Amino acid sequence: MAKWVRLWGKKRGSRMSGWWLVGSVGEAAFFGALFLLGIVTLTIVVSWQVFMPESTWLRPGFGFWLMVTAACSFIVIGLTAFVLQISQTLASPEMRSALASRAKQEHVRRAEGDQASLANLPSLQSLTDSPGVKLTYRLAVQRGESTPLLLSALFTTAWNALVAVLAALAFQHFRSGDPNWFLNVLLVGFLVVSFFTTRWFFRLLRQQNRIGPTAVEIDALPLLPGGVYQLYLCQYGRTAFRELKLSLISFEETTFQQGTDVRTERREVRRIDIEMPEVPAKGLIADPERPLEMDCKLALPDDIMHSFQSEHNAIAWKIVVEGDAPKWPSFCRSFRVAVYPRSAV
Amino acid sequence: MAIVLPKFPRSRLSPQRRLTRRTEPALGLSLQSLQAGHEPCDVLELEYRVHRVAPAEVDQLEVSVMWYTEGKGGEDFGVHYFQSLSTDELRSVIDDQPRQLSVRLPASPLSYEGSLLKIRWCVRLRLYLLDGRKVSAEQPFYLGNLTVEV
Repeated sequence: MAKWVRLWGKKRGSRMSGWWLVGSVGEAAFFGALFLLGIVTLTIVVSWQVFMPESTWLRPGFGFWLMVTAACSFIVIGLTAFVLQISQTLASPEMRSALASRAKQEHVRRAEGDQASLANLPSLQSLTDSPGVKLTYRLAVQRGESTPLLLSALFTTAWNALVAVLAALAFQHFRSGDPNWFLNVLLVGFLVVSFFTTRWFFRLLRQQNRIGPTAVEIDALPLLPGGVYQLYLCQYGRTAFRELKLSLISFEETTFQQGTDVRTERREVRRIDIEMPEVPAKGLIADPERPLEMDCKLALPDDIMHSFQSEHNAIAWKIVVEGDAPKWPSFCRSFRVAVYPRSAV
Repeated sequence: MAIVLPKFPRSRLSPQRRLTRRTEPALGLSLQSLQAGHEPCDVLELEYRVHRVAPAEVDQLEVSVMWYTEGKGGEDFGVHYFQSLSTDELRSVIDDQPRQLSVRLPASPLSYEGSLLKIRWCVRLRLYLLDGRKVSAEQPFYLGNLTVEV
């Protein structure tokens, strides 16, 4: 045993120098003391009122409830942190993780019966709950395209409401024979902004309605490395496309802390082109009576990484439809899929 | 070719320091397979031993086969196999005979070398001594046959 117990430690690479137990015991003692302080305070405050109701000290009011709230928060914070600290001191991270995963496996086994362990692979339940018209599954489109439309609608409504109030004020001044020229000039500037935001909103709305929804169906899920799959693409709306392309794309996603912010970074790491049929003689045209339909083929290489998800990191695979139509900005819609390793199925 | 000579300390160690160095516990851990990579669902065979420590000084020994992530994001890890050895079991490990272990590897996650994240597999030993010290050893291995650099 070391002759002197070191109270302070230094981080040396991935390990800490010093006696690791001292820090843990100190932290547990602090939170234990906080818990005791909360208990003692709450007991004194409440028992004072019960046993000495005639006393004028700490009568129920703002001060009384403040003391009760503070004491309760001390109890909750102290007890939670004390239990966490003790569990971290008594069990290594590996032991805690093993206990947690054992409990989780037991729960899954009871709920779903004996199954191979598919931890850290995305669940298929949300991907396979929608049957397709032509192929087995219809993939769900990832939300996010309607966000700009929603934001523009909110902004346009708020801005136009502000302009309406200013216009009413200006009109009132004008009727009373005392026009406010500063307000009038301000109103002109606000009207210009209002014109552009309203145009932006209607442009997005028209684009959304004109290009129409996209449906993608697939014959099997999960995807396996080396497998060949049939895809069916159906594009609704009233548009003639210059180009329409389907790809299977893999993204790495990581969540990390930067200062006090939690950030997520996403990076495309692999793109597999999906084989498309030949473009028809009349071109890639979708109209409300006859949507654009295409049968495609997806061939996966053998050396691709499977989908993966954990608390801070993920590898996600998506089928991405990218289109380019005259008069419209290019559009992109993505459909989540799951790639499993061959040995997991 | 560079000739690399070992660096020796200029001053000699004190007798007490020399005694401490000599009695520092050591963990030996090796995989039985000569291949660096293992296929999913294969059996991983390994052996480990503990040197230079008396059984009475040891509190606990943990063996885990686990994966962990490296990279820009927060670190995640998952334990596939975990064993905590009791005091009686520890006696046989601390004797000269190495202890052998066979673990069937899972189907996923496979080892991965990406640009934002890496997934690594390893066998980790953690030795807890009664005086509060901790000693750990790690042996990495590759699960699956994906390309190293994606």
